[in-house]
Amino acid sequence: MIHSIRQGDQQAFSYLYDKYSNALLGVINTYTESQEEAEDVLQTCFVKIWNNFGQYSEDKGRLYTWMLNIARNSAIDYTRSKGSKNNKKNQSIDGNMYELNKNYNHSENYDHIGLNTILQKLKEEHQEIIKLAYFEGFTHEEVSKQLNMPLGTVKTKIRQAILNLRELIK
Amino acid sequence: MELKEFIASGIIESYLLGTATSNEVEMVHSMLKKYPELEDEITAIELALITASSNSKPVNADLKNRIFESIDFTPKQTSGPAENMVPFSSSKTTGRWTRYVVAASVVALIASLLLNVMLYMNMNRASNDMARLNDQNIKMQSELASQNSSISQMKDQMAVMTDTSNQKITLKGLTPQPDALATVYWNPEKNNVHLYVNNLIPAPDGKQYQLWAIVDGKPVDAGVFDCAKGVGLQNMKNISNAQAFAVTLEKAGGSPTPTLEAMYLIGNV
Repeated sequence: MIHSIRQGDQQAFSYLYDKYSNALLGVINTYTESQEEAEDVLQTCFVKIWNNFGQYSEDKGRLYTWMLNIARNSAIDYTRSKGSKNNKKNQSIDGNMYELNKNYNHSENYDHIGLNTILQKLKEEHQEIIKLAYFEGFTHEEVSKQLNMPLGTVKTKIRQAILNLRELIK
Repeated sequence: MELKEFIASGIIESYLLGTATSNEVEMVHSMLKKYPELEDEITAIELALITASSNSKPVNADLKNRIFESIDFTPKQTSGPAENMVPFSSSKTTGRWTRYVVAASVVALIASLLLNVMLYMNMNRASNDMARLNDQNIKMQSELASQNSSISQMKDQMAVMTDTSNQKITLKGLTPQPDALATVYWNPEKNNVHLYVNNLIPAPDGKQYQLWAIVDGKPVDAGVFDCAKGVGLQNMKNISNAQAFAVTLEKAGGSPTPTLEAMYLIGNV
């Protein structure tokens, strides 16, 4: 499939969309306030995926992980431009903290989509850690700081959370 | 690293979440090569993540059409970052022009030098050719001149020999050289004398052959001559009323009277 898309195969790209758009939209949804906004960001995200597909290489990791990064970045770009337009009060808060806080706030904003039923079945702390590590793209160290939790514990909890997810999928 | 240990390390999760360092990515790939069964673990975690973020509501079907209409699916020239290509700095237009002009001048100069060398070589060759042809021409002219002179000489000799008013007297060898032979053409009316040496040993140094005419029983000097080969018919002194001709070997320049002992040739009219 990857090879076909590199060759410019629209069919293969359509398959890619069908397979991953829902998951990516779920990630994007955590950043946006409405479904319409999320869909706009998803559009930007897939345009980027198509236009930059030549830059993807299996050596760098999984295709989904690559697309996940594009989805997160598109969403962050969106919230930034939106923030600079509407929320001037936030402009004085700089860099990472702004981003972290903003994203963190967004993670409480799931109501408009109806949170994924499987995710909801997880323990509260596992849900929290999945949101940070997966949706927000925090590194283990960042999660450790954010939750004021030792790094080793973060790794274990991420792994446990995912193992629980795998159990729920079966 | 053992497979179990590696799976428990949390690196695979970071790898899939997109937060792994490049070292960790490499580690995953090398472990995958070593333990192909690791692929199942990776796929399972990936699927769990995809499922966790997928909405329970399906994605709006119109959204796909909208997105696909906004994508330019025309074949890509290059998949690379064409926008990132740095164009030739346009602010340096004049510098570029100067470079072109300099480059063009250098090319023109080199071409000119090559042309000069080529023309110089051609000129050298041409002037060599010309000198050689000139030499040839001179040589041929001199050959022509000498042939012309020998032709005119032969014409003269022919005229003497075919002149019916001339008498032909054959002089035969005597004791000093019995096989000696010479021919005298004498015109009794005009008194012209011509001598042709048929066979006569060359005169020794300091000596010369001398032709005599016998007029009324007395020898009369008709001049000294050379007997070198190719001399042809030699014009001698005029003689009238000759009865005979003789040749003696005398001292160079000739003698007033012949040395009879050294008489080589004689012939009667």
